[in-house]
Amino acid sequence: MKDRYIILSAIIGAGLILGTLVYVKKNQNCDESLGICPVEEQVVDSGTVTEKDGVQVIRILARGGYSPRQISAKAGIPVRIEMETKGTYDCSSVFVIPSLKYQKRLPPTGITTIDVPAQKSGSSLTGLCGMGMYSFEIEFN
Amino acid sequence: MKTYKFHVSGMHCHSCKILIEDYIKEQPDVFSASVNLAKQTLMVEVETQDLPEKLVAEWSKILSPHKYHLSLEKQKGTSEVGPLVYAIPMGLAVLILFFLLQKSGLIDLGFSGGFSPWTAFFIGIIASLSSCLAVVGGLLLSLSAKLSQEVSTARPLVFFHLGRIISFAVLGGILGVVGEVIAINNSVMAVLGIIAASVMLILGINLLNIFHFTKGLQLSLPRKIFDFLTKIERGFFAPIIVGVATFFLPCGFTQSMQFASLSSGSFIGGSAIMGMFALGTFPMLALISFGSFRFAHTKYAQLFFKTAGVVVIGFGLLSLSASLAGLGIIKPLFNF
Repeated sequence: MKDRYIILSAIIGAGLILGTLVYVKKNQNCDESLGICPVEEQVVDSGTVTEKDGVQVIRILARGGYSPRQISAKAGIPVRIEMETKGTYDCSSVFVIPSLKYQKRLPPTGITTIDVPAQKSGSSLTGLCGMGMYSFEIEFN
Repeated sequence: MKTYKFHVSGMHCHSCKILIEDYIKEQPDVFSASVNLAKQTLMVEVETQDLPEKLVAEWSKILSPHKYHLSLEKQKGTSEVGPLVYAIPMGLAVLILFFLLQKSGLIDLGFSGGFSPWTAFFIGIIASLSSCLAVVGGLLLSLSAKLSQEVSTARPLVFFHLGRIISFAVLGGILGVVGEVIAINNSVMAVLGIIAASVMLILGINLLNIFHFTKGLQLSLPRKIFDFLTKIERGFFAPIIVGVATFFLPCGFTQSMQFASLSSGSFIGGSAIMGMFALGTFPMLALISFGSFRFAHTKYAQLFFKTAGVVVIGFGLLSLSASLAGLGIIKPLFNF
């Protein structure tokens, strides 16, 4: 008898979790006031390295991890990293670059720029989320 | 006065030692009793003409209801290692499932529009499936499995969840009032992550129950916690404190919600955000903790403990390497 309640509550628990995932993913007619609308999927021009006024600009999307994860950039030229967030509430919004002693809470939506001085050839920069579960690496050549 | 040495199997922790010593000392003619946890032996000084075989038979009646087995000869460890054959693949399967879930992109959700406590609730549900599960879920699994070996009531687990949900609401409210003054330092977070990972690794090895020497090596922290828990089985402070402590464990989602509470600017706002977040994580954490308790009291208990041990060690290693990477000590070993 007691087992029946436990199995029932396990099913309800698992159902609640799965139901949420499906609901949030497939929520078409979303009520914005509740704040549980999915971010529309769109291709972002992240990962492209562009040079402007002698600075390399690298755009990285932070949500459920970082993309891209592997970036190559030129050595000897200052770098501006643009961290883009879009409705990001996961670990990737707690951003650190250990070698630069940089740590910043990225806003849920927006762009945060980090200016990094020119790096030596052969060196690399690792950016991580606070827990260390997500990361990306920029290699300088 | 005679001194006899007996072998005891079924002991897994410091409180078993105390329990057995207490029971044996109560017996007639027993002068002293001392259990060596590492060697799994019991040394007894008795003032009796009875043969040791008779003592074993009598004392077994007292100890067997507590799942301890007393013998004159050392028992072969086959029954201890047997379930491992099943536990290792099962534990690895759980870890692979977790890994695939992280890689699947199913839980990489963004939220647009305004932020409400409902957002926090949904984020809580997603957080309970995310990489945070490796830290908070792993710790909870190891603690509830270990706790289930020691106490026969799920009451401490209830207090853990109450402590977690209520403290999240209260601390969230405080964040809302205090505002931007508090900065959450990532290095402190990473150190807490390393501590949590160490507790998981030690308890995980303990749950596997294959290396007797680790029993003697149990860190004082978990031993103290469990002595504390067992002593006040009817109390509620220890599990509540563990529940409160999860507020500070490294989890990106928790930090995100703490930040949202900071920005809310009021006690009600902050407390609603953190409280709803904790409620969102509740179904998964309840499955882990009460499920553990349930399994621990079936005939599959040994299999469950060992499987949990494998999972907890996996999560512990994951958290440890992630925390070290977060501190910049090592390169990230994996990337979800």
